[in-house]
Amino acid sequence: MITRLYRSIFLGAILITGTFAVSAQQTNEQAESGADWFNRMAEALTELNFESSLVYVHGDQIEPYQWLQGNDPQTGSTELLIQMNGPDFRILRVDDRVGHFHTSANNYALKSNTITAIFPAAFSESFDRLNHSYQITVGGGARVLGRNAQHIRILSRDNQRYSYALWIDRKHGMPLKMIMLNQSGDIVEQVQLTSLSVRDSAPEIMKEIKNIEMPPLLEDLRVETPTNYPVEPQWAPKGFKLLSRQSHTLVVDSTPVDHYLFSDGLAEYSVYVAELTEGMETDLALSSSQTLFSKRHNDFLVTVVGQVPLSMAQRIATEVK
Amino acid sequence: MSRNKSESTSALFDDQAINADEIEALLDDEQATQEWHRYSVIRAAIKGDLNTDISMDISEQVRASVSQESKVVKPGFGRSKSQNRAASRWFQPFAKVAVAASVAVVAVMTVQTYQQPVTPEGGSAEPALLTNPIGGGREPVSLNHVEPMSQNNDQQRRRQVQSYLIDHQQQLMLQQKVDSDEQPEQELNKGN
Repeated sequence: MITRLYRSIFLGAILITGTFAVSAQQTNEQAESGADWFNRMAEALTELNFESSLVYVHGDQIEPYQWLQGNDPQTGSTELLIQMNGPDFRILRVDDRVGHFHTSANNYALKSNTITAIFPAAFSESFDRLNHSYQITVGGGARVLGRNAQHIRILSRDNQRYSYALWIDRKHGMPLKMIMLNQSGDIVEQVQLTSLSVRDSAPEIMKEIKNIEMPPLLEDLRVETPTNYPVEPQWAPKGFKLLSRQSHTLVVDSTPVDHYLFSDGLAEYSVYVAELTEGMETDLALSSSQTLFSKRHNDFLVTVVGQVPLSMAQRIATEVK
Repeated sequence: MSRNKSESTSALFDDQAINADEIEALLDDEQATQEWHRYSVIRAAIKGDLNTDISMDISEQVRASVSQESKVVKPGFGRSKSQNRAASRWFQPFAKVAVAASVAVVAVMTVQTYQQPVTPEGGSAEPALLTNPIGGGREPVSLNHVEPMSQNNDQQRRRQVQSYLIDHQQQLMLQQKVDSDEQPEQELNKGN
């Protein structure tokens, strides 16, 4: 009798632990499959051959683009983005060299593995890099661009940053639609692919343009001059790391500034410290797809710029002492 | 002759078969390639499909830009004004960079709240908010004290905002380069 009681308790315990284990596994699985979807997207963005067109919407601006990528032994890794409205502007990537071609300006090249103009660079890399600050929730399926798409959301763990809603092509892993939202859920930026053809080999054009001569590489531009002023950022939101600190002058109006660049892997912001001079505006705030906030600290003007919410920019600026 | 070429351009364009020599001849003839380009733009406008026509166009672009390259001045930050100007020519803002867009936005809606030091009605430390009215309520916008401001102030403000926005984008671009060179993201991974 007693043994039987024990046995049933034991069985119950096993059952209960079992259920817990299962549910824990389920949440794990969900997190995993979220990261899996993300990583599939990263793979598609670096390895797929495709031709696509898309619209990029921010604020009241709508910009159409053509976007092509090639990856095969013949072409290597190539990517081309063309702005379709307004002045002709193109970005061409061949392996890790990214050329910017502008009809009305000098062309230049940068070193990077992605064009990064439409989707953040972090989308082409493993989610592990973002895991410290962001998590993924997996939504349902949806029909996007006539395709079967998987909805995922990328949310910051502190809920204080912009989040992303993504619809990923279940077949190829391509992101078909992206919405960037602020913390109150308002739309900041949107990308919608309007056509997508995935190919077995690189688009023909990529074979031709692979041999285009790249414009000169922007090199040695970063003259690492140490910062000058005693005022500096004392605080950064969790997960944000300082990438660089140096001083330079702003190109447009030649203001000398100390500059600090922070990133959490997905979002970036800059902190500028400038000596306050006559005619400088001290209280400015701009909140659209880029946030700008500036405030006075003693004899200095502190300015925070980046894709972070205004409240965060304010806090960052306040902590510059 | 030129009429012939026009015909073959048009034939080629309509996916009709023309022989390889004709294609060669067309490619060598600048006028014909330009014609091709015009056709393609027209067709693109009609069909809304530009995929197939890009190659000609970019090679033209690039040929033109490469020939300009010799004049290029290597920019540097903060050494002299002329160098800065050179640098600013280099960094023509890119669309997503949203510089042009933000400038437009700033121009459309410049809301000044408490610009002047505390007014009799009592000012708070609220900043002047320049915000995009169409994109919808991103952040609370203080509209309490909307007042026309002097042209100078307005310009100065716009210029200052632009300066910082453009500089931030430049720094990001440069950072990418450094990023792929030195892989500082290891540092990033350490964050919990």
